[in-house]
Amino acid sequence: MVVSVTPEQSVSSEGRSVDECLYLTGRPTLREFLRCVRTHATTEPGRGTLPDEWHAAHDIVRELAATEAGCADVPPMAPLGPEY
Amino acid sequence: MRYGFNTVPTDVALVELDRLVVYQKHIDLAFARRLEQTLGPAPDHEQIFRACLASDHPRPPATWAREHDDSFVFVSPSNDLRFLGAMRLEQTDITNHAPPGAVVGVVGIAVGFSANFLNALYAEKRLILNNGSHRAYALRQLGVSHVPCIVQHVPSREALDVVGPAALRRDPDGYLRQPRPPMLKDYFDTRVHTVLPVRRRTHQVTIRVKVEASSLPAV
Repeated sequence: MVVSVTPEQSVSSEGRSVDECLYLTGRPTLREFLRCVRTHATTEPGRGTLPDEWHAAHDIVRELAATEAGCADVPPMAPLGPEY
Repeated sequence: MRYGFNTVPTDVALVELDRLVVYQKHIDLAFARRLEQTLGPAPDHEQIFRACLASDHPRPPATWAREHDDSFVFVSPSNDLRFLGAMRLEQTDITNHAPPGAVVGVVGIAVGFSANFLNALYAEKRLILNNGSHRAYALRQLGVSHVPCIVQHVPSREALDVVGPAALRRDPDGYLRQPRPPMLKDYFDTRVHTVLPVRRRTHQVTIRVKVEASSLPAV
């Protein structure tokens, strides 16, 4: 018995279904990032591009750790107003 | 609500999207764009409320079929497809099928999607988005800054171990102690994300029925 599902399709030039995925580059390890790209991406950038991209993002993540330290702490939570 | 939110104290609050910690490393942009189209360019408070907390918002497509005598396959493009649990039923609960014999009991096995409310865990003075990443992304993309959200108050690491998702249980300090953990606003910072063309995947849940009948000496 065949199970079929028909989501909204977008098709790559190779005729496969392709989506776009946003990935937080500098957060997982470089190894995880490379594994994710190799497993899921339809095209792989040239040699050296991915590690360079990851290192650049990782540098920003480290910078944010200094400039935005504590910004996740004690976030405001309010009761729903009458507009809801 | 009944099955997921009764373990720790829970309430509904208005939260700021940019202050949410996130553990999901990726966003399916096609899905997020479909949500944005559904919401329209300027969603009002009612639309925002329904997107976040109503249970009747559009369900992802899904289908299912019997594969063999003993197995059933459920398929959906949504990775929220999951086994929801088994239920004890009576013959009177079954209305559209003739009983195959003198029925003693019926076991119902449910597969579907989670309650799907926008939900965050409040642990160690941080709000961690637990469900609804794509809706949160879509709303933020549309310019919405605050959303209604079901907040589960997690009083301890032990409670986190019960109600927290696997990513949070694996590395709680990465989200609760790091000075600047991954946050929802990072999805919008081009310096720390990349957009990849990815092969579309479908998610499959297979239910296999195993029946064992044996004779035991009566005591």
